[in-house]
Amino acid sequence: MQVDPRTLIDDTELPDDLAALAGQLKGEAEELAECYPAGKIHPVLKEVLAVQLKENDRTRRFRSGIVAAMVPLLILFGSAALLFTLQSGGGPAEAGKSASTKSANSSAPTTVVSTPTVQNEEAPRELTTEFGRDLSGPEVEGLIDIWDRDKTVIRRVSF
Amino acid sequence: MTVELDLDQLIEDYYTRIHRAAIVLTGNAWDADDLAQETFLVMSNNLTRFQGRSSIYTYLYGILLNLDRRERRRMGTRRRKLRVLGEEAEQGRERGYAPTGSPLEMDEWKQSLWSLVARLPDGQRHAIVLRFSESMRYEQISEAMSCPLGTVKSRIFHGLLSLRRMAEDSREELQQIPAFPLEDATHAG
Repeated sequence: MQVDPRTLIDDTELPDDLAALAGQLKGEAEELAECYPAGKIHPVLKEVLAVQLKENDRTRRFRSGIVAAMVPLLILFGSAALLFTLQSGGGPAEAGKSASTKSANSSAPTTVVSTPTVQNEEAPRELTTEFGRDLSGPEVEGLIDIWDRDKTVIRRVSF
Repeated sequence: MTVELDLDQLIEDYYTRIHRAAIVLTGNAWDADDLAQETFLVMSNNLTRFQGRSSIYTYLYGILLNLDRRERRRMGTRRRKLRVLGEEAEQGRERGYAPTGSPLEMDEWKQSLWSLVARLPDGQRHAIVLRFSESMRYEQISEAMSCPLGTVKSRIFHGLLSLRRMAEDSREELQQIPAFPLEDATHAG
């Protein structure tokens, strides 16, 4: 009879000769266990085990303590970094500043012509700015801000 | 996940069982003691890695099987070295340590089917020990051996087939040995 071993559920499904072998193995294992019973575990080993288990407990508590402390710290650092990024570059504050500069420029269109031109992606950009005579304070500040922010441009001012 | 263990309870519950499996695996009381005690030592060392996904029962058997495999590999290497260095093997015998381990093996074990099981490949041997010595369920064996259920069943089945073949061979060998030694026949007259 062909038997697919993977479909076996119980030893009773084994062919007779194999079931007999299995029975013999069980019986002999019991006999061996009776002949050679497990002695008591060595007291020194037991002490070592106790110490190691305690040590493991301590390590586990230490690790979980570190994790518990790290989570709020990470959250704090993350939010601080996010705030810093928003405040220093490309954030709403900076956007507001450039908007005010733009409005200042539009208020005096005849006096200042600002023409930033980018020649190509690799080479440094060239920013040519012409100043009129009656240049207002916010306009100068706005231009200086643009220069400071964009370090890759070549600054050229013509009067 | 934290796993709190009561050491005394653990030893009381599992030491005898682990020792019985070790006896069947090694066939030698001294090695079995060492193996069982080392299993508990390794367990206590690695307890931080124990996730609690399997039961501590199957976890202990997993350690036992790994230690047994390591020990057999070490013994195999030692035997190969001794075979290569024949002279050293002879010297070893003279000094009194057993290169093949046979003098230390228990007679009851040598006469049992378990001595034939010891010749099977590790996977089949371990599956058979857990099933027929420890009466573990197939699912538990699969957990302890970290292999699929189908593989466990297949290993047990093919292990039993090989065992039957080996048992038949050894029976034939026994039949070929004369019932009475020749020198006894000379004294008969």
